[in-house]
Amino acid sequence: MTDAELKKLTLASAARLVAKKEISPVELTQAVLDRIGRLNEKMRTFITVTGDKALERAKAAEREIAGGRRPPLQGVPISLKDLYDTKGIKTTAGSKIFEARVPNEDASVVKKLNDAGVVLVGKANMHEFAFGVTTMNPHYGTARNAWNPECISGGSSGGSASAIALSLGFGSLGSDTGGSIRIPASVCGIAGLKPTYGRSSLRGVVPLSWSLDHPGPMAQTVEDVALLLGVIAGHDPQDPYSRKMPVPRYTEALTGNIKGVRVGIPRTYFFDHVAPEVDSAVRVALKTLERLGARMVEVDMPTAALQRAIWTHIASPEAYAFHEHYLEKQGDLYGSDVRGRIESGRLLLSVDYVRAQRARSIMKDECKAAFKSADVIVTPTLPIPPPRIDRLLQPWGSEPETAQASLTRFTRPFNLTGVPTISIPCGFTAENLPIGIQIAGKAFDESMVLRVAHAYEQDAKWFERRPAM
Amino acid sequence: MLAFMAFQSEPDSETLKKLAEVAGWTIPEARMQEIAALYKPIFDDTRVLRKLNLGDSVPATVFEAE
Repeated sequence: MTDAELKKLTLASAARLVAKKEISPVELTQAVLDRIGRLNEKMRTFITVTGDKALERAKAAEREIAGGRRPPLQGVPISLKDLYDTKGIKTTAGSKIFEARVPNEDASVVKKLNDAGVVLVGKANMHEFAFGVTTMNPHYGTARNAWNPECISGGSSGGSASAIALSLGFGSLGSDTGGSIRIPASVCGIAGLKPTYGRSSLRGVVPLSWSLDHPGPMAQTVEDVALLLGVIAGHDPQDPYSRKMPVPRYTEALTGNIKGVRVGIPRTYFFDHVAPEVDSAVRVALKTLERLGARMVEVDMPTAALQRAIWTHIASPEAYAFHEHYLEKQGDLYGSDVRGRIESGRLLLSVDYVRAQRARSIMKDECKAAFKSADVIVTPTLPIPPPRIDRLLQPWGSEPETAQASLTRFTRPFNLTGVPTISIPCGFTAENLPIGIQIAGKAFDESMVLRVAHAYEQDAKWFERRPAM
Repeated sequence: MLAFMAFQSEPDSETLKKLAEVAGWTIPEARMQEIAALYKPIFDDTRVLRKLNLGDSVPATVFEAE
């Protein structure tokens, strides 16, 4: 299989071709592994490549297909962010501390993916302990952006997004505490969904902040994401945060019809201080949704403007609580940026943590009220195009905000409210860098989010543009 | 508490050192300035949070008995 043939495949099309025996899982897996072999040193997409195990699994899949066993993702190569526990495979969480950690058991969602027949080709690079948005990892290298290696791949699930953009596997699981699925999805030009808090299990996922962590799928298209979500969604009695909610067949929502769907546009905050190319691409996307039959309505989420204060006073103390023991014993093994962020949780007052959780309730109520008049809320995913690595800490516009600090501005409110939110491409800059649009829905209504995202995607066709590499 | 409040308006390395001692945290000299600088923007946010009218809102994480 040539690179050109590989790059044309999506998770859904690969799964269909494997099921129809038009592609062998072994041939497909070998082609992906060969490509990883050629690109990983430069792009630093993977921390661990599971070549032998992947081929073994692909051969088993081939035998199972011959025997008539065809689970939905049988024989399809995927990756996992390296904070999902994998039995017998190193799981570092992007850290030196867990450099030699080999779990005895798979994370609950990994078990589900294995039951669905996937072939794991590797554990993707990530920002150390998921606490950062760049995936400039001091221990495993900087995961580069497939559209321009001088730009970040985003984070913290940067390796997962980079892997998909480079066709080094057809899907991945990321995790999102402040935007860590949607930010890399946006800068790498792919689809990334943060499902509702409690929709899929966190058991066996190295935590960053228990009340803000969301595991979720990343892939090239909305259909791919819907397929992966269909596999990983559902109650897990071993995860106390997991909710008992029915799991619909998400692919059935992908009708292409969004006539009469109410699209909420926030009146304030989400369109303030946005780079002109991003603003223009998102506004054109909104016109497209309108042309497809959606109705625009204005909504208000005023407390979103306080996202940084609220988020920091929840995430940092929760992260510190998890890391306290490791910091005391092996603090020097942390990268300096992540160590600083985690330690900042140490001297915050407990009353301010509670205050932040109360403010979060207000934000949640505002979000709920907004969804009385809207079926989805649409915003830019990021205020800026993918930043260059060497300009991350520079102000990007007329205000003092650095490029790096701007990246979580529109994503964190939806971690605080816990509602499902996807990022999909909505255009490209003059320098051929992807721009993302964010679509949020009511709690546990991932179907509506996917329906709107899919209708837009199939009309705009940005997913067809692939990196030259 | 007063020390914390003072610290949160002017988090220099000396006040940080005193507070860290009270909290049982030994911060190496070399990192003191770095950590003090890190706390400044966080405490700017703390002040924003403290000014917020929270009305009768309850914390978002509420214990659920089973």
